[in-house]
Amino acid sequence: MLGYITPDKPELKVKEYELYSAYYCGICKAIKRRHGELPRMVLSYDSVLLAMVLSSLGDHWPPARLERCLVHPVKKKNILYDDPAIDYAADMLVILASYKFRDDWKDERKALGGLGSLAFSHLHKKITGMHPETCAIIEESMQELARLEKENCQSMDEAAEPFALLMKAVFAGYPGIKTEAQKEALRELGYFLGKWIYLIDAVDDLPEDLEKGRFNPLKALWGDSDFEKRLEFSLIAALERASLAYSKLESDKNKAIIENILYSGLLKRTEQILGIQPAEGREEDLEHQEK
Amino acid sequence: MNPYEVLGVKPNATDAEIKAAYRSLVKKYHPDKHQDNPLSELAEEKLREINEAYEMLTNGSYAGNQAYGRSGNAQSSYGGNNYGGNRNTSAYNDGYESNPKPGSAEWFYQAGVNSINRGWYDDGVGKLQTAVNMSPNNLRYRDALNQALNMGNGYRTASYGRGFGNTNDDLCKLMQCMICTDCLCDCI
Repeated sequence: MLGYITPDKPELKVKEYELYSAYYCGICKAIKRRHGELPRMVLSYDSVLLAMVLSSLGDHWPPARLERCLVHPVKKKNILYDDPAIDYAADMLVILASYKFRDDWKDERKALGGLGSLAFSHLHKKITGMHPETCAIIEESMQELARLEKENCQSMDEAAEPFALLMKAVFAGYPGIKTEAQKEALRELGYFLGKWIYLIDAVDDLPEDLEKGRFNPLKALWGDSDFEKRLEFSLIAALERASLAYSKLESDKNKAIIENILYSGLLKRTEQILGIQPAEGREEDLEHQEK
Repeated sequence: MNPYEVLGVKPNATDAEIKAAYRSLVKKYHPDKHQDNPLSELAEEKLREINEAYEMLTNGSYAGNQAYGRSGNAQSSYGGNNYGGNRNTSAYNDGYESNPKPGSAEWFYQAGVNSINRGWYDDGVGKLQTAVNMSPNNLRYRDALNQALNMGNGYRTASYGRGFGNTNDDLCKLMQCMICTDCLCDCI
């Protein structure tokens, strides 16, 4: 959950963008309602995809309300309420942030990590109590990740596996899933999205990790002439499987935005981070990519 | 079902003839050719029939399940399960063993297919490439490698098919010219 999963904004219709924002703000407000003001600062765009996908499983459209918020005190924003998918995404966001703080503190003794772990510790317990199975898998995956880092694993698939399994659990752990087929599709979607996130983050961080001597599973591959080709292949393959999995959900709700993210937003982000020039004939984005 | 009819061969056809007929039919009904085609479901069904018929006639077993690819029926198979549905495998039986010796080409091939099925693409392609390097004449290995390498094409096609990233409007201009000409000239 690091802000890589964003839509291709120029390709969104205005109404779609408004809906996307309504989910984003909805998650923020849900965090406040459920967990307090402080955790709102960990809000990220990735959670919006989770909320939208899970929300698409149910037919009901919760009403939107116009409200002000701290960050936008002047103009009221549309906010979605009463959606269990949004509440679940809020919970997951907070618990994952808590794990990230703990990880930062353990690995690099980052001050923010230490403060964050302390601040979130009671929330950590609370959310673990609300979603025990999912959090158990998250805990296991983080430990496995730590083990692979210690062993300096240089296989991209092996290194990505724990995070992929983590996201698989997050997507499939939603209490509102109705059928086994939906659960299976969500498992696959979560797994490959998790894999994509892990790999794209590894590519993005590689220059800095090399400089600072930190762990990165791609270090060994870095000098290879095949580097870009192999990474592009793995990343696109992950997106292929993720989008295939989404299509199995066969839901029309939020479809346009989710497909924008899966087929365009993530593709462009992949190309941007790998430094690949887009194919000829494509216009440059009117807005620069938001990091 | 009559397997000879499905493959379009005479009942006394040789193995080579059956193989050739199978290969050309698989190419014809390959799901990648029918992605945005309303007939894609029919193509898939036909492909399934063709694979069944071939199996019946050759008494061979499929060499692993190489069913990764964009098709409506492809089920997920990471985590150890195998794909059901689209079995676009080239059923060349040369060298298929159920317990290959570790380190042999067949072992790399099967390990590669398993990796791909579970979603470990980089690992899988590496192993399949090794199998191909060890046995360059084995078409089954080569086919599997090529199928795996084509993984991204379905996705990019789907992306451009949804209109993302494509601002090339030459086709649009061409149609405009055609329609204007049609209106102006009676003989079109």
